[in-house]
Amino acid sequence: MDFKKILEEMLENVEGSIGASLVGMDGIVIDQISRNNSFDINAVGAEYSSIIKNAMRASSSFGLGNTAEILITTDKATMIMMLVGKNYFVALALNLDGNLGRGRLELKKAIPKFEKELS
Amino acid sequence: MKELFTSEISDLKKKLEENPEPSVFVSLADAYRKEGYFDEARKVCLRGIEKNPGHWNTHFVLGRIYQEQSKSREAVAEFKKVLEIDPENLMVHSFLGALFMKLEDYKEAIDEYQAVLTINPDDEEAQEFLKTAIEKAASAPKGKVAAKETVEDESAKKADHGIASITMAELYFKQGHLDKALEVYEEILKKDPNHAVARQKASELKAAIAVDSLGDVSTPKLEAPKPISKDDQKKNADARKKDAKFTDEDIFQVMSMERTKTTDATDKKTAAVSPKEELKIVEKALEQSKEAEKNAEPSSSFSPAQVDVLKGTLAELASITGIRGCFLTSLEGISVVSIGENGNNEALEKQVLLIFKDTNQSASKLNQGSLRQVLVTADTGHILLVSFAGGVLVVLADHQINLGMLRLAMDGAAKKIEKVK
Repeated sequence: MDFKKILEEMLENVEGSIGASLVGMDGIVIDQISRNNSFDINAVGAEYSSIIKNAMRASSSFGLGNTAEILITTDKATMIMMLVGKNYFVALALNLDGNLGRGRLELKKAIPKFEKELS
Repeated sequence: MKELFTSEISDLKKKLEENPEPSVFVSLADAYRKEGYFDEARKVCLRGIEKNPGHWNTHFVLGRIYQEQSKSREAVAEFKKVLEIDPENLMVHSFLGALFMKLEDYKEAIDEYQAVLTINPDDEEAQEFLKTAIEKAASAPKGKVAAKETVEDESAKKADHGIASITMAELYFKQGHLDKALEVYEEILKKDPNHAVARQKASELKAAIAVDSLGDVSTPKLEAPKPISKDDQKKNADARKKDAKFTDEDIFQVMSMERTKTTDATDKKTAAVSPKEELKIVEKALEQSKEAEKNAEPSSSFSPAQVDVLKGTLAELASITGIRGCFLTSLEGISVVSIGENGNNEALEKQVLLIFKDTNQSASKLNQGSLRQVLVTADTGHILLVSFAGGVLVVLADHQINLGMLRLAMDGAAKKIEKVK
Protein backbone atom coordinates (compact mmCIF):
# COMPACT_ATOMS: atom_id res chain seq x y z
CA MET A 1 0.00 0.00 0.00
CA ASP A 2 1.88 3.03 -1.22
CA PHE A 3 -0.04 5.87 0.39
CA LYS A 4 3.07 8.04 0.54
CA LYS A 5 3.44 7.90 -3.24
CA ILE A 6 -0.11 9.21 -3.73
CA LEU A 7 0.53 11.96 -1.16
CA GLU A 8 3.83 12.90 -2.81
CA GLU A 9 2.17 13.10 -6.20
CA MET A 10 -0.41 15.51 -4.77
CA LEU A 11 2.25 17.78 -3.28
CA GLU A 12 4.20 17.84 -6.54
CA ASN A 13 1.14 18.91 -8.50
CA VAL A 14 -0.05 21.66 -6.16
CA GLU A 15 1.80 24.95 -6.07
CA GLY A 16 2.28 26.23 -2.52
CA SER A 17 1.54 22.93 -0.77
CA ILE A 18 3.16 22.37 2.63
CA GLY A 19 2.16 18.85 3.57
CA ALA A 20 -0.42 16.11 3.21
CA SER A 21 -1.67 13.22 5.30
CA LEU A 22 -4.10 10.33 5.32
CA VAL A 23 -5.83 10.14 8.69
CA GLY A 24 -8.34 7.83 10.35
CA MET A 25 -11.49 9.35 11.82
CA ASP A 26 -10.03 8.51 15.23
CA GLY A 27 -7.26 11.05 14.53
CA ILE A 28 -4.48 8.51 13.99
CA VAL A 29 -2.31 9.33 10.97
CA ILE A 30 -1.86 6.47 8.52
CA ASP A 31 0.75 8.18 6.36
CA GLN A 32 2.00 11.71 5.88
CA ILE A 33 4.48 13.84 4.00
CA SER A 34 5.69 17.35 4.87
CA ARG A 35 7.78 19.98 3.12
CA ASN A 36 7.94 22.33 6.07
CA ASN A 37 9.45 21.23 9.38
CA SER A 38 7.65 23.94 11.35
CA PHE A 39 4.28 22.56 10.22
CA ASP A 40 3.35 19.39 12.10
CA ILE A 41 1.03 17.60 9.71
CA ASN A 42 0.59 14.71 12.20
CA ALA A 43 -0.81 17.06 14.83
CA VAL A 44 -3.05 18.69 12.23
CA GLY A 45 -4.72 15.38 11.45
CA ALA A 46 -5.33 14.60 15.09
CA GLU A 47 -6.61 18.09 15.91
CA TYR A 48 -8.97 18.43 13.01
CA SER A 49 -10.55 14.97 13.13
CA SER A 50 -12.95 16.10 15.87
CA ILE A 51 -13.90 19.14 13.77
CA ILE A 52 -14.82 16.85 10.89
CA LYS A 53 -17.19 15.00 13.20
CA ASN A 54 -18.81 18.27 14.31
CA ALA A 55 -19.11 19.38 10.69
CA MET A 56 -20.79 16.08 9.77
CA ARG A 57 -23.38 16.66 12.48
CA ALA A 58 -23.97 20.26 11.37
CA SER A 59 -24.36 19.32 7.68
CA SER A 60 -26.94 16.76 8.64
CA SER A 61 -28.80 19.22 10.92
CA PHE A 62 -28.93 21.84 8.17
CA GLY A 63 -30.38 19.23 5.81
CA LEU A 64 -27.36 19.32 3.52
CA GLY A 65 -26.65 15.59 3.53
CA ASN A 66 -23.25 13.98 4.07
CA THR A 67 -20.12 16.06 4.53
CA ALA A 68 -17.62 15.68 1.73
CA GLU A 69 -15.05 18.40 2.33
CA ILE A 70 -13.85 20.93 4.90
CA LEU A 71 -11.65 23.90 4.18
CA ILE A 72 -10.03 25.84 7.02
CA THR A 73 -8.19 29.12 6.51
CA THR A 74 -6.07 30.60 9.28
CA ASP A 75 -3.62 33.52 9.34
CA LYS A 76 -0.81 31.23 8.18
CA ALA A 77 -2.21 28.40 6.07
CA THR A 78 -5.17 26.77 4.37
CA MET A 79 -6.11 23.19 5.09
CA ILE A 80 -8.33 21.16 2.76
CA MET A 81 -9.76 17.92 4.10
CA MET A 82 -11.82 15.44 2.11
CA LEU A 83 -13.44 12.27 3.34
CA VAL A 84 -12.16 8.93 2.04
CA GLY A 85 -15.01 6.51 2.60
CA LYS A 86 -16.58 6.65 6.06
CA ASN A 87 -13.53 6.01 8.20
CA TYR A 88 -10.71 8.12 6.79
CA PHE A 89 -9.92 11.58 5.51
CA VAL A 90 -7.09 13.07 3.50
CA ALA A 91 -5.71 16.50 4.41
CA LEU A 92 -3.66 18.88 2.31
CA ALA A 93 -2.04 21.98 3.80
CA LEU A 94 -1.19 24.97 1.61
CA ASN A 95 0.44 28.28 2.33
CA LEU A 96 -1.84 31.29 1.81
CA ASP A 97 -0.56 31.89 -1.73
CA GLY A 98 -1.02 28.24 -2.66
CA ASN A 99 -3.24 27.17 -5.54
CA LEU A 100 -6.42 26.24 -3.71
CA GLY A 101 -8.35 25.22 -6.82
CA ARG A 102 -5.62 22.88 -7.94
CA GLY A 103 -5.38 21.52 -4.40
CA ARG A 104 -9.06 20.59 -4.36
CA LEU A 105 -8.79 19.03 -7.81
CA GLU A 106 -5.76 16.91 -6.86
CA LEU A 107 -7.45 15.75 -3.66
CA LYS A 108 -10.55 14.73 -5.61
CA LYS A 109 -8.35 12.78 -8.01
CA ALA A 110 -6.49 11.09 -5.15
CA ILE A 111 -9.58 9.90 -3.26
CA PRO A 112 -10.40 6.93 -5.58
CA LYS A 113 -6.76 5.88 -5.37
CA PHE A 114 -6.87 5.86 -1.57
CA GLU A 115 -10.23 4.09 -1.59
CA LYS A 116 -8.81 1.41 -3.87
CA GLU A 117 -5.82 0.92 -1.58
CA LEU A 118 -7.98 0.82 1.55
CA SER A 119 -10.61 -1.58 0.20
CA MET B 1 -22.73 51.97 2.16
CA LYS B 2 -21.01 54.25 -0.32
CA GLU B 3 -18.84 55.71 2.42
CA LEU B 4 -17.84 52.25 3.58
CA PHE B 5 -16.86 51.33 0.06
CA THR B 6 -14.88 54.50 -0.45
CA SER B 7 -13.04 53.86 2.78
CA GLU B 8 -12.51 50.25 1.64
CA ILE B 9 -10.89 51.51 -1.56
CA SER B 10 -8.57 53.83 0.43
CA ASP B 11 -7.59 50.96 2.73
CA LEU B 12 -6.90 48.65 -0.20
CA LYS B 13 -4.85 51.30 -2.02
CA LYS B 14 -2.70 51.68 1.08
CA LYS B 15 -2.42 47.92 1.44
CA LEU B 16 -1.35 47.59 -2.20
CA GLU B 17 1.43 50.13 -1.73
CA GLU B 18 2.72 48.24 1.28
CA ASN B 19 2.20 44.76 -0.07
CA PRO B 20 1.57 44.34 -3.83
CA GLU B 21 0.20 40.80 -3.51
CA PRO B 22 -2.02 39.42 -6.35
CA SER B 23 -4.99 39.13 -4.00
CA VAL B 24 -4.76 42.85 -3.11
CA PHE B 25 -4.81 43.84 -6.80
CA VAL B 26 -7.95 41.72 -7.19
CA SER B 27 -9.67 43.17 -4.11
CA LEU B 28 -8.91 46.78 -5.07
CA ALA B 29 -9.97 46.31 -8.71
CA ASP B 30 -13.19 44.64 -7.61
CA ALA B 31 -13.92 47.39 -5.09
CA TYR B 32 -13.49 49.99 -7.88
CA ARG B 33 -15.71 47.91 -10.17
CA LYS B 34 -18.50 47.67 -7.62
CA GLU B 35 -18.41 51.45 -7.21
CA GLY B 36 -18.57 51.93 -10.99
CA TYR B 37 -15.01 53.29 -11.34
CA PHE B 38 -14.33 51.08 -14.34
CA ASP B 39 -11.24 52.88 -15.66
CA GLU B 40 -9.50 52.71 -12.28
CA ALA B 41 -10.56 49.08 -11.88
CA ARG B 42 -9.20 48.20 -15.33
CA LYS B 43 -5.87 49.94 -14.65
CA VAL B 44 -5.42 48.08 -11.36
CA CYS B 45 -6.17 44.77 -13.11
CA LEU B 46 -3.66 45.47 -15.90
CA ARG B 47 -0.98 46.33 -13.32
CA GLY B 48 -1.83 43.16 -11.43
CA ILE B 49 -1.65 41.01 -14.57
CA GLU B 50 1.70 42.57 -15.50
CA LYS B 51 3.12 41.61 -12.10
CA ASN B 52 1.38 38.22 -11.74
CA PRO B 53 0.30 36.95 -15.18
CA GLY B 54 -0.81 33.54 -13.89
CA HIS B 55 -3.31 34.82 -11.32
CA TRP B 56 -6.73 33.92 -12.73
CA ASN B 57 -8.73 36.08 -10.34
CA THR B 58 -7.33 39.25 -11.91
CA HIS B 59 -8.46 38.13 -15.38
CA PHE B 60 -11.82 37.27 -13.88
CA VAL B 61 -12.33 40.74 -12.42
CA LEU B 62 -11.13 42.34 -15.67
CA GLY B 63 -13.66 40.22 -17.53
CA ARG B 64 -16.42 41.42 -15.19
CA ILE B 65 -15.38 45.04 -15.78
CA TYR B 66 -15.56 44.64 -19.57
CA GLN B 67 -18.84 42.76 -19.21
CA GLU B 68 -20.40 45.57 -17.19
CA GLN B 69 -19.11 48.09 -19.75
CA SER B 70 -20.79 46.01 -22.49
CA LYS B 71 -17.39 45.32 -24.06
CA SER B 72 -18.38 41.74 -24.74
CA ARG B 73 -15.47 40.72 -26.95
CA GLU B 74 -12.89 41.99 -24.46
CA ALA B 75 -14.79 40.24 -21.65
CA VAL B 76 -14.78 36.97 -23.62
CA ALA B 77 -11.00 37.24 -24.11
CA GLU B 78 -10.40 37.70 -20.36
CA PHE B 79 -12.75 34.90 -19.32
CA LYS B 80 -11.05 32.56 -21.81
CA LYS B 81 -7.77 33.32 -20.01
CA VAL B 82 -9.39 32.31 -16.73
CA LEU B 83 -10.41 28.98 -18.26
CA GLU B 84 -6.83 28.34 -19.39
CA ILE B 85 -5.88 28.37 -15.70
CA ASP B 86 -9.10 27.05 -14.17
CA PRO B 87 -10.97 25.06 -16.85
CA GLU B 88 -13.81 24.02 -14.54
CA ASN B 89 -14.83 27.48 -13.40
CA LEU B 90 -18.60 27.23 -13.49
CA MET B 91 -19.31 30.94 -13.21
CA VAL B 92 -16.95 31.79 -16.07
CA HIS B 93 -18.60 29.23 -18.38
CA SER B 94 -21.94 30.72 -17.43
CA PHE B 95 -20.80 34.30 -18.07
CA LEU B 96 -19.32 33.23 -21.41
CA GLY B 97 -22.62 31.64 -22.36
CA ALA B 98 -24.42 34.93 -21.68
CA LEU B 99 -21.79 36.93 -23.56
CA PHE B 100 -21.96 34.69 -26.64
CA MET B 101 -25.75 34.99 -26.60
CA LYS B 102 -25.33 38.74 -26.62
CA LEU B 103 -22.86 38.45 -29.50
CA GLU B 104 -25.38 36.17 -31.28
CA ASP B 105 -22.70 33.51 -31.47
CA TYR B 106 -25.08 30.71 -30.55
CA LYS B 107 -22.71 27.87 -31.36
CA GLU B 108 -20.22 29.12 -28.76
CA ALA B 109 -23.05 29.84 -26.30
CA ILE B 110 -24.25 26.24 -26.65
CA ASP B 111 -20.70 25.00 -25.97
CA GLU B 112 -20.46 27.11 -22.82
CA TYR B 113 -23.83 26.06 -21.39
CA GLN B 114 -22.98 22.45 -22.18
CA ALA B 115 -19.73 22.94 -20.24
CA VAL B 116 -21.76 24.25 -17.28
CA LEU B 117 -24.03 21.21 -17.45
CA THR B 118 -21.09 18.82 -17.72
CA ILE B 119 -19.80 20.17 -14.40
CA ASN B 120 -23.21 20.53 -12.81
CA PRO B 121 -25.97 18.59 -14.65
CA ASP B 122 -28.65 19.86 -12.21
CA ASP B 123 -28.22 23.55 -13.09
CA GLU B 124 -31.77 24.38 -14.19
CA GLU B 125 -30.86 27.91 -15.28
CA ALA B 126 -28.16 26.58 -17.62
CA GLN B 127 -30.62 23.98 -18.99
CA GLU B 128 -33.02 26.81 -19.82
CA PHE B 129 -30.34 28.98 -21.41
CA LEU B 130 -29.05 26.02 -23.43
CA LYS B 131 -32.56 25.41 -24.76
CA THR B 132 -32.85 29.09 -25.77
CA ALA B 133 -29.42 29.01 -27.44
CA ILE B 134 -30.34 25.89 -29.43
CA GLU B 135 -33.64 27.49 -30.54
CA LYS B 136 -31.84 30.69 -31.53
CA ALA B 137 -29.17 28.74 -33.42
CA ALA B 138 -31.86 26.83 -35.32
CA SER B 139 -33.65 30.02 -36.40
CA ALA B 140 -30.48 32.01 -37.21
CA PRO B 141 -29.70 32.65 -40.91
CA LYS B 142 -27.45 30.02 -42.47
CA GLY B 143 -23.77 30.89 -42.73
CA LYS B 144 -23.94 33.23 -39.82
CA VAL B 145 -21.14 32.32 -37.41
CA ALA B 146 -20.95 35.21 -34.99
CA ALA B 147 -22.84 38.41 -35.58
CA LYS B 148 -21.61 41.75 -34.35
CA GLU B 149 -22.71 42.81 -30.92
CA THR B 150 -26.24 44.19 -30.81
CA VAL B 151 -27.04 47.06 -28.52
CA GLU B 152 -30.07 45.66 -26.73
CA ASP B 153 -30.81 42.03 -27.51
CA GLU B 154 -33.75 40.98 -25.37
CA SER B 155 -32.85 37.32 -25.14
CA ALA B 156 -29.29 38.21 -24.20
CA LYS B 157 -30.57 40.50 -21.50
CA LYS B 158 -32.60 37.62 -20.12
CA ALA B 159 -29.53 35.42 -20.20
CA ASP B 160 -27.48 37.99 -18.38
CA HIS B 161 -28.57 36.52 -15.02
CA GLY B 162 -29.65 38.13 -11.76
CA ILE B 163 -26.38 39.96 -11.08
CA ALA B 164 -26.74 41.95 -14.28
CA SER B 165 -30.35 42.85 -13.45
CA ILE B 166 -29.45 44.27 -10.06
CA THR B 167 -26.59 46.13 -11.72
CA MET B 168 -29.00 47.47 -14.31
CA ALA B 169 -31.37 48.72 -11.62
CA GLU B 170 -28.48 50.35 -9.76
CA LEU B 171 -27.36 52.08 -12.95
CA TYR B 172 -30.86 53.46 -13.55
CA PHE B 173 -30.95 54.58 -9.93
CA LYS B 174 -27.57 56.33 -10.18
CA GLN B 175 -28.81 58.12 -13.30
CA GLY B 176 -31.90 59.30 -11.38
CA HIS B 177 -34.37 57.08 -13.31
CA LEU B 178 -36.14 55.85 -10.19
CA ASP B 179 -39.19 54.56 -12.06
CA LYS B 180 -37.04 52.46 -14.42
CA ALA B 181 -34.98 51.13 -11.50
CA LEU B 182 -38.24 50.16 -9.76
CA GLU B 183 -39.44 48.35 -12.91
CA VAL B 184 -36.23 46.27 -12.96
CA TYR B 185 -36.53 45.38 -9.26
CA GLU B 186 -40.18 44.39 -9.79
CA GLU B 187 -39.14 42.24 -12.73
CA ILE B 188 -36.59 40.48 -10.51
CA LEU B 189 -39.24 39.96 -7.84
CA LYS B 190 -41.60 38.42 -10.38
CA LYS B 191 -38.96 35.78 -11.11
CA ASP B 192 -37.82 35.42 -7.51
CA PRO B 193 -40.30 36.71 -4.91
CA ASN B 194 -37.79 35.92 -2.12
CA HIS B 195 -35.07 38.18 -3.52
CA ALA B 196 -34.27 40.18 -0.35
CA VAL B 197 -32.30 43.00 -1.97
CA ALA B 198 -34.81 43.56 -4.77
CA ARG B 199 -37.67 43.63 -2.26
CA GLN B 200 -35.91 46.11 0.03
CA LYS B 201 -34.82 48.39 -2.85
CA ALA B 202 -38.26 48.29 -4.47
CA SER B 203 -39.86 49.32 -1.19
CA GLU B 204 -37.39 52.20 -0.75
CA LEU B 205 -37.95 53.33 -4.33
CA LYS B 206 -41.74 53.27 -3.97
CA ALA B 207 -41.46 55.54 -0.92
CA ALA B 208 -39.04 57.84 -2.74
CA ILE B 209 -41.25 58.04 -5.82
CA ALA B 210 -44.26 58.83 -3.60
CA VAL B 211 -42.35 61.69 -1.98
CA ASP B 212 -41.02 62.81 -5.37
CA SER B 213 -44.55 63.16 -6.64
CA LEU B 214 -44.92 66.09 -4.23
CA GLY B 215 -42.38 68.29 -5.88
CA ASP B 216 -38.95 68.65 -7.36
CA VAL B 217 -38.38 65.42 -9.23
CA SER B 218 -34.81 66.26 -10.07
CA THR B 219 -33.77 66.16 -6.42
CA PRO B 220 -32.52 62.69 -5.55
CA LYS B 221 -34.30 61.54 -2.39
CA LEU B 222 -32.48 58.27 -1.84
CA GLU B 223 -28.89 58.89 -0.88
CA ALA B 224 -26.13 56.84 0.69
CA PRO B 225 -26.68 56.83 4.46
CA LYS B 226 -24.82 59.58 6.28
CA PRO B 227 -23.10 58.96 9.62
CA ILE B 228 -25.64 59.39 12.41
CA SER B 229 -24.64 61.87 15.09
CA LYS B 230 -25.03 60.97 18.77
CA ASP B 231 -27.82 63.52 19.12
CA ASP B 232 -29.69 61.98 16.19
CA GLN B 233 -29.18 58.50 17.61
CA LYS B 234 -30.74 59.66 20.88
CA LYS B 235 -33.64 61.26 19.00
CA ASN B 236 -34.17 58.02 17.07
CA ALA B 237 -34.11 55.98 20.26
CA ASP B 238 -36.64 58.31 21.90
CA ALA B 239 -38.87 58.12 18.84
CA ARG B 240 -38.84 54.30 18.96
CA LYS B 241 -40.00 54.36 22.55
CA LYS B 242 -43.14 56.20 21.50
CA ASP B 243 -46.32 54.52 20.39
CA ALA B 244 -46.36 53.09 16.85
CA LYS B 245 -48.86 55.77 15.76
CA PHE B 246 -47.28 58.96 14.44
CA THR B 247 -47.37 62.05 16.55
CA ASP B 248 -48.43 65.44 15.22
CA GLU B 249 -44.83 66.51 15.67
CA ASP B 250 -43.61 63.71 13.36
CA ILE B 251 -46.09 64.66 10.65
CA PHE B 252 -45.39 68.35 11.00
CA GLN B 253 -41.63 67.77 10.76
CA VAL B 254 -41.84 65.73 7.55
CA MET B 255 -44.39 68.09 6.03
CA SER B 256 -42.13 71.03 6.79
CA MET B 257 -39.21 69.25 5.15
CA GLU B 258 -41.25 68.53 2.05
CA ARG B 259 -42.58 72.07 1.88
CA THR B 260 -39.04 73.46 2.10
CA LYS B 261 -38.12 71.34 -0.89
CA THR B 262 -41.09 72.47 -2.93
CA THR B 263 -41.36 76.20 -2.29
CA ASP B 264 -39.64 77.02 -5.55
CA ALA B 265 -42.14 79.19 -7.43
CA THR B 266 -41.16 77.64 -10.76
CA ASP B 267 -42.29 74.23 -9.60
CA LYS B 268 -45.87 73.89 -10.80
CA LYS B 269 -46.39 70.40 -9.42
CA THR B 270 -46.60 71.48 -5.81
CA ALA B 271 -49.71 73.50 -6.41
CA ALA B 272 -51.44 70.45 -7.85
CA VAL B 273 -51.17 68.51 -4.57
CA SER B 274 -53.82 69.20 -1.99
CA PRO B 275 -52.90 69.35 1.73
CA LYS B 276 -54.99 66.19 2.29
CA GLU B 277 -53.07 64.28 -0.37
CA GLU B 278 -49.83 65.63 0.99
CA LEU B 279 -50.67 64.40 4.48
CA LYS B 280 -51.62 60.98 3.12
CA ILE B 281 -48.29 60.60 1.29
CA VAL B 282 -46.30 61.75 4.30
CA GLU B 283 -48.20 59.35 6.57
CA LYS B 284 -47.43 56.53 4.15
CA ALA B 285 -43.72 57.38 4.10
CA LEU B 286 -43.61 57.49 7.91
CA GLU B 287 -45.46 54.21 8.15
CA GLN B 288 -42.90 52.54 5.87
CA SER B 289 -40.06 54.02 7.86
CA LYS B 290 -41.50 52.79 11.19
CA GLU B 291 -42.20 49.36 9.72
CA ALA B 292 -38.55 49.09 8.63
CA GLU B 293 -37.40 49.99 12.14
CA LYS B 294 -39.74 47.41 13.65
CA ASN B 295 -38.28 44.69 11.42
CA ALA B 296 -34.74 45.59 12.43
CA GLU B 297 -35.03 44.68 16.08
CA PRO B 298 -31.57 44.37 17.58
CA SER B 299 -30.89 41.38 19.79
CA SER B 300 -27.38 42.36 20.87
CA SER B 301 -25.36 45.42 21.72
CA PHE B 302 -25.73 46.85 18.20
CA SER B 303 -27.68 50.08 17.82
CA PRO B 304 -30.72 50.13 15.47
CA ALA B 305 -28.71 52.13 12.93
CA GLN B 306 -25.93 49.52 13.04
CA VAL B 307 -28.45 46.71 12.68
CA ASP B 308 -29.80 48.46 9.58
CA VAL B 309 -26.34 48.53 8.05
CA LEU B 310 -25.78 44.89 9.00
CA LYS B 311 -29.13 43.91 7.49
CA GLY B 312 -28.20 45.73 4.30
CA THR B 313 -24.83 43.97 4.15
CA LEU B 314 -26.44 40.57 4.69
CA ALA B 315 -29.20 41.31 2.17
CA GLU B 316 -26.51 42.21 -0.37
CA LEU B 317 -24.75 38.93 0.35
CA ALA B 318 -28.01 36.98 0.18
CA SER B 319 -28.69 38.42 -3.28
CA ILE B 320 -25.87 36.31 -4.74
CA THR B 321 -27.39 33.48 -6.73
CA GLY B 322 -27.16 30.26 -4.76
CA ILE B 323 -27.11 31.71 -1.24
CA ARG B 324 -29.99 30.28 0.81
CA GLY B 325 -29.53 32.30 3.93
CA CYS B 326 -27.04 34.01 6.20
CA PHE B 327 -26.82 35.07 9.80
CA LEU B 328 -24.56 36.84 12.23
CA THR B 329 -24.03 35.50 15.68
CA SER B 330 -21.83 36.67 18.53
CA LEU B 331 -19.31 34.28 20.11
CA GLU B 332 -21.63 34.10 23.12
CA GLY B 333 -24.30 32.67 20.84
CA ILE B 334 -26.44 35.81 20.65
CA SER B 335 -28.14 36.15 17.28
CA VAL B 336 -27.58 39.59 15.77
CA VAL B 337 -29.19 39.53 12.31
CA SER B 338 -30.46 36.74 10.07
CA ILE B 339 -31.80 36.56 6.52
CA GLY B 340 -33.28 33.61 4.66
CA GLU B 341 -33.25 29.94 5.65
CA ASN B 342 -32.52 28.73 9.19
CA GLY B 343 -32.59 32.21 10.69
CA ASN B 344 -33.08 32.40 14.46
CA ASN B 345 -32.61 28.66 14.88
CA GLU B 346 -30.74 28.48 18.16
CA ALA B 347 -29.82 24.79 17.95
CA LEU B 348 -28.21 25.21 14.54
CA GLU B 349 -26.42 28.38 15.60
CA LYS B 350 -24.95 26.52 18.57
CA GLN B 351 -23.66 23.73 16.32
CA VAL B 352 -22.04 26.23 13.99
CA LEU B 353 -20.44 28.05 16.92
CA LEU B 354 -19.07 24.77 18.23
CA ILE B 355 -17.32 24.09 14.92
CA PHE B 356 -15.93 27.60 14.91
CA LYS B 357 -14.69 27.53 18.50
CA ASP B 358 -13.12 24.05 18.19
CA THR B 359 -11.38 24.98 14.95
CA ASN B 360 -10.14 28.22 16.43
CA GLN B 361 -8.69 26.36 19.43
CA SER B 362 -7.01 23.81 17.16
CA ALA B 363 -5.53 26.55 14.96
CA SER B 364 -4.16 28.23 18.06
CA LYS B 365 -2.65 24.97 19.39
CA LEU B 366 -0.98 24.38 16.03
CA ASN B 367 0.51 27.92 15.98
CA GLN B 368 -1.49 28.73 12.86
CA GLY B 369 -2.65 32.14 14.06
CA SER B 370 -6.29 33.15 14.17
CA LEU B 371 -9.02 31.35 12.31
CA ARG B 372 -10.38 33.22 9.29
CA GLN B 373 -12.78 30.90 7.50
CA VAL B 374 -14.24 27.43 7.71
CA LEU B 375 -16.04 25.95 4.72
CA VAL B 376 -18.01 22.74 5.08
CA THR B 377 -19.12 21.15 1.82
CA ALA B 378 -21.85 18.53 1.94
CA ASP B 379 -23.91 16.62 -0.64
CA THR B 380 -26.39 19.41 -1.36
CA GLY B 381 -24.80 22.60 -0.08
CA HIS B 382 -22.13 24.50 1.80
CA ILE B 383 -21.82 26.11 5.22
CA LEU B 384 -19.30 28.92 5.29
CA LEU B 385 -18.18 30.56 8.53
CA VAL B 386 -16.15 33.76 8.58
CA SER B 387 -14.68 35.34 11.66
CA PHE B 388 -15.34 38.99 12.41
CA ALA B 389 -14.62 41.07 15.51
CA GLY B 390 -16.55 39.35 18.27
CA GLY B 391 -18.61 36.99 16.19
CA VAL B 392 -19.19 34.68 13.26
CA LEU B 393 -20.84 35.34 9.90
CA VAL B 394 -22.54 32.16 8.64
CA VAL B 395 -23.73 31.55 5.10
CA LEU B 396 -25.70 28.59 3.78
CA ALA B 397 -25.33 28.09 0.05
CA ASP B 398 -26.44 25.72 -2.69
CA HIS B 399 -24.04 23.11 -3.95
CA GLN B 400 -23.56 24.74 -7.37
CA ILE B 401 -22.43 28.14 -6.10
CA ASN B 402 -19.02 29.36 -7.25
CA LEU B 403 -16.91 28.94 -4.12
CA GLY B 404 -14.26 31.45 -5.16
CA MET B 405 -16.85 34.19 -5.62
CA LEU B 406 -18.60 33.18 -2.40
CA ARG B 407 -15.40 33.44 -0.35
CA LEU B 408 -14.59 36.79 -1.97
CA ALA B 409 -18.08 38.11 -1.19
CA MET B 410 -17.89 36.79 2.38
CA ASP B 411 -14.56 38.53 2.93
CA GLY B 412 -16.04 41.80 1.67
CA ALA B 413 -19.11 41.41 3.91
CA ALA B 414 -16.97 40.55 6.96
CA LYS B 415 -14.88 43.71 6.40
CA LYS B 416 -18.03 45.85 6.25
CA ILE B 417 -19.38 44.18 9.39
CA GLU B 418 -16.13 44.82 11.26
CA LYS B 419 -16.37 48.49 10.37
CA VAL B 420 -19.88 48.62 11.81
CA LYS B 421 -18.69 46.99 15.02
